[in-house]
Amino acid sequence: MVPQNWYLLLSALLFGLGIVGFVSRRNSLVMFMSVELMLNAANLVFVACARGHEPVRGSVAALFVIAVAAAEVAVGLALVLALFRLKKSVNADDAQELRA
Amino acid sequence: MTTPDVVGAGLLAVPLATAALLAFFGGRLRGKTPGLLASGAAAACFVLALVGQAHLLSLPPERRAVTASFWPWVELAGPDSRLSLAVSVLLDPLALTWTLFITGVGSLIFLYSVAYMEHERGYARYFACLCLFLFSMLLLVLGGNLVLTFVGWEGVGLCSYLLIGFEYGKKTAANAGRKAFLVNRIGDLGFLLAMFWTWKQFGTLDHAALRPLLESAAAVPPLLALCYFVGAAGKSAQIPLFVWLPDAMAGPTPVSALIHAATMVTAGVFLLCRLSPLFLVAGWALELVAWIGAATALVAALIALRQRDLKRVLAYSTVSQLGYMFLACGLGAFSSAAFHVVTHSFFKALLFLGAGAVIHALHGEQDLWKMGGLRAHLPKTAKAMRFGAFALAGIAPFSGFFSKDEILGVAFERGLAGRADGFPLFALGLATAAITAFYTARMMTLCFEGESRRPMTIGDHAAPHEPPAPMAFALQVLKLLSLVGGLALGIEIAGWTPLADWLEPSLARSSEAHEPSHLLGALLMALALGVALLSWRLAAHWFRGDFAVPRALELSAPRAGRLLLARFWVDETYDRLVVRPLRALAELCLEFDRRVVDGFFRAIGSSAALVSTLLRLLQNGVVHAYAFWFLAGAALFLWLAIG
Repeated sequence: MVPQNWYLLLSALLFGLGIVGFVSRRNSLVMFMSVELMLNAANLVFVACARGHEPVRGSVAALFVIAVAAAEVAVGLALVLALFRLKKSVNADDAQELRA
Repeated sequence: MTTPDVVGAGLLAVPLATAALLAFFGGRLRGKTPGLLASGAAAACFVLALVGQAHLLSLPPERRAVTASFWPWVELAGPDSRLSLAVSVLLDPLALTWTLFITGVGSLIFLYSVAYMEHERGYARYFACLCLFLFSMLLLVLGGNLVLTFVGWEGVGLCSYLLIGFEYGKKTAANAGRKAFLVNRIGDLGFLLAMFWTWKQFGTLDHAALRPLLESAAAVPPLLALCYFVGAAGKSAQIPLFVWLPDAMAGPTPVSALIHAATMVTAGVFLLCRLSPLFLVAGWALELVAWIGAATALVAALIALRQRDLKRVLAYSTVSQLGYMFLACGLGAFSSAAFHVVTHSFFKALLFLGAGAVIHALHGEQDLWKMGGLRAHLPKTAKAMRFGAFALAGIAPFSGFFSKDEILGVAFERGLAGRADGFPLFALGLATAAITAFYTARMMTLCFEGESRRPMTIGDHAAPHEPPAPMAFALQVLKLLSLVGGLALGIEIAGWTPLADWLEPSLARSSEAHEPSHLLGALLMALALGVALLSWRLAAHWFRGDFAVPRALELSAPRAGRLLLARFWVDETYDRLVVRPLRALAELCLEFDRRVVDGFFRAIGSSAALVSTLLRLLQNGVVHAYAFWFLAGAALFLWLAIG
């Protein structure tokens, strides 16, 4: 059996990739995907830990996150669409109107 | 409702209601209506005062002090003391004497104003203030307790401020009003302190209840009497608080007449008379009153010698005459002081109203050196003013002669009785009488006699003309009063003196204040009359022709001349000793307020602004930056949670 720590290590790796992607990429669709990566990294931790300790609760939490992520995708893509209509671009740097 | 109730309530309600009416609806009244309304109110008050007088005369002398109480005002009770005040009116000979001349002379001045102020702006406002002035003065003299007297006292101060600064657009008038108000406040403080002290000492402030307590008191602290005197000196323009009165002439001339003759300045003498039993047992305080009175009389008379402004000469003559009244009070002869107040109100009102007629005829010219020869144009005014001037100068048989002579007689008798200060005070009084006659004659000669010194202006189409009917009427009545007032009130007939005997129940009389015997009295009268006539003739002669003698005098004693012209530099001294240090202190406070107090709160405000400026840098609109800070924050919390 694969030791639990490896799952955690993989999860941290995926989460770090998500962070780096979210902060460094300008394309809002890529940023969006990075968020999904981070959510799934969290899911991996839930599931991995559920196997050893609390099978039901851990799986339910992962299912919850998937449901929330689906809703988030619906809202997020709508936002990206709206941004594209406004700016003719999906580049996040083109929308800086809220600068103080 | 008894007669005193009606008289007391009417005397206060009528002027107050008229003042309110004119203040709120005066602007809608057309033409002379406000003036006629106010004059009618003043005349109604005079009639009420006569009714009150008749009522008191119907009572036996010892019961001539009637209190009409209207409603309870202040009821305070402490563990061992209580204060109970009612809104009440005390009708007694003293209050009614004042009421009679306030309303009588006041009505004439009101009537005079109807014509005098006709073309001025703020006609209704003027008469509203005048009515309020009348109300305050009546409250002052009629109030049944010291607190009501004080309310009237303050009201008089307020109205004098409003009326002196009536032409508030003129800087001199506005400043003079303020000066009168501020100088009066010093006196008011004295009155207030004295009132507290009286309550502590005697437990009551009611005039009627206070009187027997004061009469049975063996002695009161001289300082208490001195506090009252400070109040009186403020209102009645005595050294060292006389500076406001000469400036008060910045108001319209009828206002000067009202302030100088009928109201305001007589309030101080009234207070001294009202508290005569207190002053008689106050030790050295009474002597101080006499000396200050005599000194004020002399100093003001000296200053009046060289003033160029017609109204200023009269203003200083008022200060000087008030000095005589305080001298009389200080000698314990309160009825003589009251007598002089009454005669003075006649002739000073006449002189001021006459001066108003002259100024009116000359379109506002007040400089004596630009007058001269006016008798040809204003024969009636000149004659009326001559009556007033004779009365002021103390020439028999005009009214001022008798009252002034009575005061001098009391001083002389005090010297004969062996008191060391009697003769010096008499000498001061006599010297002042001589100077008074001199400056009065100088003023009259410069104004009405000799050649005209009026500057010839092109288009001077209107030659000086006599005043219109209401003004002339007021002058004629006052002329008559100035002639017979002294004789009618002060002459002794078979041991009965009208005014003195009438006032006797309400005044305490010093056992030391005697009037001289008949022979001595006649001699003193002759002496005073001789001195007055001589200096009158001298001045009339000197100032008629080419002014050779005054010029020579001026050249031989330039410093004395300048001293008098500059009014002993009293105003300048006050400016240096009081005004400027106070102003420096005020500026120091302002700086402290601006730098330290404001600085503290501004620092709080600007530190918040600074923090917000820094935080604003974070909100740059770049989503990635937000994400970075968000993650950094999350990492920080994580670290804190774990570490």
